[in-house]
Formats: sequence, C-alpha cells, structure tokens
Amino acid sequence: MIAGSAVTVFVEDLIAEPRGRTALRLTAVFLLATSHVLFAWHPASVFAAALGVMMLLSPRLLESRWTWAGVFAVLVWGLVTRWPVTENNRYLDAYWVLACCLASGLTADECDRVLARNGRLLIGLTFTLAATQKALRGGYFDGSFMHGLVLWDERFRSVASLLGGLDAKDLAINSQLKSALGFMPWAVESVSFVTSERLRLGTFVLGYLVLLLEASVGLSFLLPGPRWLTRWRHYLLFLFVLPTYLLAQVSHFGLILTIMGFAQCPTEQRRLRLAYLLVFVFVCFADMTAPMLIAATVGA
Amino acid sequence: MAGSRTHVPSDSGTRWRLHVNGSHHPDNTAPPTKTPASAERFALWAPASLFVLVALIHLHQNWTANLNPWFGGGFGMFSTTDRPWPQSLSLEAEDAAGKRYLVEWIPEWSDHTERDKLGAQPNAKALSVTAGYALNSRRSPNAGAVRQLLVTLDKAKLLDRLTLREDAATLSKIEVVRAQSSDDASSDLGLVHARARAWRLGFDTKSARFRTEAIGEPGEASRQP
Repeated sequence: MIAGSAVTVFVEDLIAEPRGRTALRLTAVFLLATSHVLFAWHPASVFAAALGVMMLLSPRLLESRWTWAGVFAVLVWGLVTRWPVTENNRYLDAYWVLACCLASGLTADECDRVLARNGRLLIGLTFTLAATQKALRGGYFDGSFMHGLVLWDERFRSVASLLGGLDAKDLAINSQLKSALGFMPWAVESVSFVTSERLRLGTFVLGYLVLLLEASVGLSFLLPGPRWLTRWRHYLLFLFVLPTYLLAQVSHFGLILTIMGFAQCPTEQRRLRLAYLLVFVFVCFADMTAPMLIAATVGA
Repeated sequence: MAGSRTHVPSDSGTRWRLHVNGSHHPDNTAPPTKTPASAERFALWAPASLFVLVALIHLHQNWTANLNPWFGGGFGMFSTTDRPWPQSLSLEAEDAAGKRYLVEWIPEWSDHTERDKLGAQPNAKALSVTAGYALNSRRSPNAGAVRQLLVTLDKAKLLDRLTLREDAATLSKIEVVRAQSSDDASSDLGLVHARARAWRLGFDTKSARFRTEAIGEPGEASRQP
C-alpha cells in the first residue's frame, strides 16, 4: 500500500516537473539500468552506474555539468577504444549524454529547449539515416534482408513460427545448418535453409512496413512540417518502439529513444508524458519478456 | 540548471500549441524571448553536428574500407544480412608435407575485442599478423571436429543442403589445431604457411540460400620448414 502510493507520488512528480529535469532523471536511470550493456561489464560500467545512482539521489549532481561531462568522457573513451565493434546505438547514447551535459548548465527553460531540440534532431537523424541505409542496400526491396534475418537470427524465431508456420523441427534444422556454415565458412559455399512461401511473402511485406515506418519516424521528427505528419511523430515512435524491442531485445536503444521523445513533451501534455513513462517501463522489461515469448511461441 | 522554473503558458487550455511566425514550432517549446546566448546556441546544435560528422566518416568507411554497417556511427544496423558472426573469420594452415589444418581462434583473446575488430573491419595487414600466430599452433582436443560435423550432417540427411567448396572426403581429413597468441610460442606441428580470411554473409530470398564470400585479400604468413 505504502509502496504503491510512493510509486504514484514518484510518477506524479515525474509528470509534473519540467521536462528537461525529468529527462535528466530518466537518463540517470538509463545509465544505471544499462551500464552493463554500455560497457560490456567493463570496470567503467561500475563508474557510470555509480554516477547514475548519485545523480538520482542528489539533485545537485543531476544538474551538474561536470557530472554529465564525466559520463560523456567515459562513453567517448569506450567508443574510441572499441570504435569498429561498437554498435550504432551506443553512439546515440553518447550524443544524448552530450546534450544532457550541455543542457545541465543552463536555466530551466533553456534546458527544456536544448533537450527538446536535441531529442528531436537526434531521433530524426537516426531514423532518416537508418532508412536511407536500408533503402540504398536494396535488401528491403526484394525481401531478402527480412527473410534472411528471420531465418538466421535466433531472436526472431517467434516471427518464423508465427508468420511462416515453421515448427520446432524446422527451426532445429536451420540452427544446425547455421552452425555448419559458421564453423567452416571457408569450406561451405552456400547452404539452403528450411523456409515457407508464407514466410517469404510475410517478411517481404514486413520489410516494406519497417522501411516505411522508419522513414516516417525520421521525417516527422526531422522536418518542421507538414503538420499532418509531424503531429503523429510520438505515436509513430511508439509504433516502432513497442513491437521492435519486444522482439529484438535491444532495450537500451528503445530506452534512449523514449527519453529523447519524452524531452519534447511539455507539462501540459500529461497523457503523452505518462504514455512515454509507461513505454519506458515496458522497454525496461522487454528483454526479460522476449525470451519467454519466444519460448512460448516455438515451444523451445 | 539554476534559475526560473516557470513555464511559458500555452495558448490553448489543454494542449500545448505554440506558433512561431504563424507555424507550429517543431520542438514544441516556447520560443526564447531574446536571441539565444552563444552557450545555448552551441548546446542546441553541437550534438546533432557531431552526429552528422561521425556518420559521414563512418559511411565513408562502410563504402570504402570494409567497415561493417552494423558497427560505427553510420546507423546501418539491420540494413544488410552481412553481420559479422562469431566465426566469420577463418584461419587455415599447412605443414611442409601439404597436410592441411583448420586453426581454432586464439584462446588468450578472452574478451574477443581484437577478433571482433577484425570481423567488423578486416584488412590484409591485421589478417597477416593473425596468420602469423596460426603458425605457432598446437594440437587441439577438437582435432576431429570437421569430420565429426560432416558425419552428423550426413546422418541427419542435411549434407544435401550444403554446397561445399571441396568434396566431403577431402574436408574430413582436415585436422583442427589451436593457435597461440604469444610471439615466442613454439609449435610441434611444423606449419609452414597460414592464411586468415574474413567472410561476408549473403542471402538469396528465392532459394533461401545463405552464401559466404571472402572479404578483400586474405592475410598470409609463411616460414621456412
């Protein structure tokens, strides 16, 4: 009972306070929740997590430019030392922490403006660039990328089952063939996976939907208009985040997108802010629910 | 973030709707009452500018220097099937008599960082260094792993699904050995030549067939018997 009311007060506080400050607090939570992913359990992850805890406990540290500069320095160090093997989304984390660093030394209104602008631009640039890369490489237009992804990547076994009707035996055969190709790529020129016409068609359509959605999210955030597109930007982002992070299990990317989206919602938009907070909590738990969903779907 | 926490009121009772020069403000924020100070201007644009700068560098690397699009700041994740997988690098060696070996990766590279870097952006020079380590290989407990794998696939009637570069009987004779990363490590195998290669994965949707293709030039290392 007491815990429930404490959570209610906490959520009310998050919804009511200036968006810049809430975005900083959510970013501190993000650092704490994902530091193991950010640095792959490197000792630096302990430093980032510790800073996240201290920022949540101390409003002064939360609003200190030096604290955020410390986090940014650690992130940059990680990116520079491992730059070719660092996945795209880690770069976005660093850009957002830089925005937090630059915003935290400003007045509340300026902080709101800086985080809102950076959140909008970073989401817009990320999705526009991602959609452009997908379009340029062509794998979405002939359906080969999505079909290959679902067959190769075991995170998408539930899609292969639900969309393509592949059973546990088919999936086991594909897993064995993948192992053979992986073990001796120098000896195996090619390998034919088990699939179905349903899966081929389903992934073809899915690829176009993903491409269209990513381009829509990118342009709706990046462009100042038209209004019929930009007014739906938050809902388009939710439409992307909710199913994607349930399946792909890369919750840290979903979390940072959610924080950047939240940074654009002023206090008057209570429902939208609450929706972002709910999505934030959902994505936090997505990594845990996805394996259960896959197991339930394919009977693994 | 010291200073005023008051909000600029919206012009509508329930929804935030601001207008700048007659149009909806893209950031959904109150316009500043005066020209932003230089610190704010810098803060408004610096992260996005850094994003664009790094993206341009990494896109150039993607297209000209074999940087895998899944990595770097070019946001090419999920744009191509060609994602490095753990075994996307291969090491082969042979002794003076021409006997061939498959070399297991170096166990001392416990965090796999160097191996991952090679997979993400292979280049002949780094591959040659790795091939040099392969010359110091020792016998491995997995010596018969290739033959065992082929037998398993045959029993499961899956061998027909594979197109091999050499016949299965020849491949079965290849023994698995283990590389050592130390420069002064010795080997009792008498290896004289080693080759390291990185592989790209492609997919044809009509035949549901994955294929491998070597990326760039292999790295090679040799020594006198």
